[in-house]
Amino acid sequence: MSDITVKNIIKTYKDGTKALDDVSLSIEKGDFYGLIGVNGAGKTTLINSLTGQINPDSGEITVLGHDAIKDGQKVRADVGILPEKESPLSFMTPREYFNFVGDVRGIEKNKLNDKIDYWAELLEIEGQLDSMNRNLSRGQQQKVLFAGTFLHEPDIVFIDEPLANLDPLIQEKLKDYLKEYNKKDNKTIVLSTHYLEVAKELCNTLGVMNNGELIGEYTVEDLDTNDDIRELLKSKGDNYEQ
Amino acid sequence: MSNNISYFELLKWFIIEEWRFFTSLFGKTRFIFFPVMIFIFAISIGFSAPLFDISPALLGTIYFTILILFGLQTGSIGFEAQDSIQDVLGDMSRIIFASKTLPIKDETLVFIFLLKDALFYSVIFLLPIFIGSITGLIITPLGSITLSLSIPLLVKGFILTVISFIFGVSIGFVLTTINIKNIYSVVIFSTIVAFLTVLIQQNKFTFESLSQLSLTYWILGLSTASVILISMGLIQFARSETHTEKSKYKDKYTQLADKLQNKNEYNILIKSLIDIQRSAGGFFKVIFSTATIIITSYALIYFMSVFFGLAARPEYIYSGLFALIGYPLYAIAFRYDSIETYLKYPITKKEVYNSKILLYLILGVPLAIVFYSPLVFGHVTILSAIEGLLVLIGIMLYQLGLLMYLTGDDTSRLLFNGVLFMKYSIATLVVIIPVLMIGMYGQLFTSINPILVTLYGFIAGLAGVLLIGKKLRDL
Repeated sequence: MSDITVKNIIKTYKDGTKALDDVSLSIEKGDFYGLIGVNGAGKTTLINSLTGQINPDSGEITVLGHDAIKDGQKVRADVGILPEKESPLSFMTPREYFNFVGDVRGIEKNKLNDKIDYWAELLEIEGQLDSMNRNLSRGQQQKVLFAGTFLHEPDIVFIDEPLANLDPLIQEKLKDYLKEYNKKDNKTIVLSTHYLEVAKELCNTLGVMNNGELIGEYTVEDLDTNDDIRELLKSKGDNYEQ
Repeated sequence: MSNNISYFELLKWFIIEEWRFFTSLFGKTRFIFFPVMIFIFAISIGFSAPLFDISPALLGTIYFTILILFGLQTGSIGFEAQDSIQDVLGDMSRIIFASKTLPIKDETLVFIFLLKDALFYSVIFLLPIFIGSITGLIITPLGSITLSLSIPLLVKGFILTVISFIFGVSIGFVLTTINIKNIYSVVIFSTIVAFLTVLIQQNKFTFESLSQLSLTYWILGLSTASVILISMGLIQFARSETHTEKSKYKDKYTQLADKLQNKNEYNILIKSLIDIQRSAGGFFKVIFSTATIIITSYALIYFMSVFFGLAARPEYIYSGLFALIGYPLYAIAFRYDSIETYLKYPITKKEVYNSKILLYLILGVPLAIVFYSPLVFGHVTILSAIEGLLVLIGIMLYQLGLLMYLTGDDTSRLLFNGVLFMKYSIATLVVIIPVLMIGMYGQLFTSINPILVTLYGFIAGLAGVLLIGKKLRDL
């Protein structure tokens, strides 16, 4: 059974921009699905729709059996979301932020404390746990957000540019974590990125978006041999060759 | 200052940015409608001025005092700016934060920022007020106020309008830059306040005596005071930049959360209280923002007593006017987050609003009691004081419902959205004016049972609850 099913969704913003143009897709349990496309292709709008943060104008979305349009709340209870361009709550410390997320997600205290210790060590932020989030560097803030997304070990995580602002060593650690999370526990991960190499390394399916349309779904091997798609991604001048 | 950009060029960019910011927020048409609405409002004030039967000099003093209070109100926005400035990487990327990446001094940016505010507000806010008031005075058929209008007098009048506003903003600005950990600033500030208090107490400054001063003296005096205040603020601001932030914080969230049930409403409430406490000014910001309304109300009550004698039921006057602290309180409740902040968690919009209602009540009711009690208890019977207090809380609840219904999680929409502002003003005045009338002319309404007035407050509160209910149902 599919974890995520999307049928013919359309989303047009007030300024007339068609952010999603009749998008349909299906993501199976245990998939590591990469959404790739240039800036403005519709990746973030699609993730926001899948997690019930915005409602499309028409179409159907089912996530873990919940109707994401009518029941976004239930979807958000079962999934993890790491948005792009977000900071952890400014006036809280990482420890307070994790406790807040833990309370909201109903994580048992002892388990939560173990999780906080685990993530602090993995991400090397033990020394920053009691500093205010607004005083952390952008990279440290990204680490806090990343950990907060996985605290409740959700069945599906939606991660939008998760490695942004992180140093190469931490990037490698997190890539390993994501691979293990996906394979060992058979969890579904939806990754949005415009770093093609990252997507190719991590994902088993790559959905290519352009101008609000999902123009195709490919395996890494397919994509490597598809000159048209590679040309499309390169022509937009983004980071696809990094 | 960078060698590559002049003050003028920087000012130009600040103004362009401000214009684009507001027009993109509210749309050009609605934004342009705001000064028109202010103009109409000012005409109506000028139009009715002869009813007060006072000298033009005293009328002018009142006018400029109100502008100073407007400025003070605007200056309190500085708290928010300071929070943003102190952010390592703020969400907003505005020119005011340019020193993070460009070779421009913070002091220069703040100075030009204030100058931009003065010019910007002069055009969209002060000019309509000035022209509208004068027009109202000229065309009014309700009586005559002898004005010998001349071009130099009009120019001086407008200059003083702008300077009065800047003076108010300067007070607000210097207050927002005071670092209560810095003992020198506390001493300097306390000395100035004590000096002014002694002067006022010795009756050196009364509105009547001040109104005898010529416009030129006013312009010189307020300009000098503004320059001193802004300089103090800039020096203090520069110091706060080098002030070392406390690097470690106790886990206050868990401390408080352990005492409450694990409900999203309470979790967000705790988070909001932490936000306020750790942001610039801390809880002092709440007191300051609401106190400006109280000071304005008190000044208004003072003027009313000058014109009409002492109010028959002063407790109701305080109830009606002090309830206006609802706006700054509600704005603070949503200053550090919005509904969107919580959309990535399993938190409903209703839970966010419920937490903000709790925050509003937890901060607002004690504050209202603190502001109201010293002015009323002991001056009227205990029963009357309690009746007034109930009316005050009822109208505050109405304000909460009205603001939630009209502005949702973004109170800034009210500031320059003319239509929305008018709706808010009318809906507020409709409820407050009857209370003020009873407060002023209570002796004429001998047939009005005080219980009925209390009931009126209760109905206002109920209307607030209904508006809250409607908003929550519409989510």
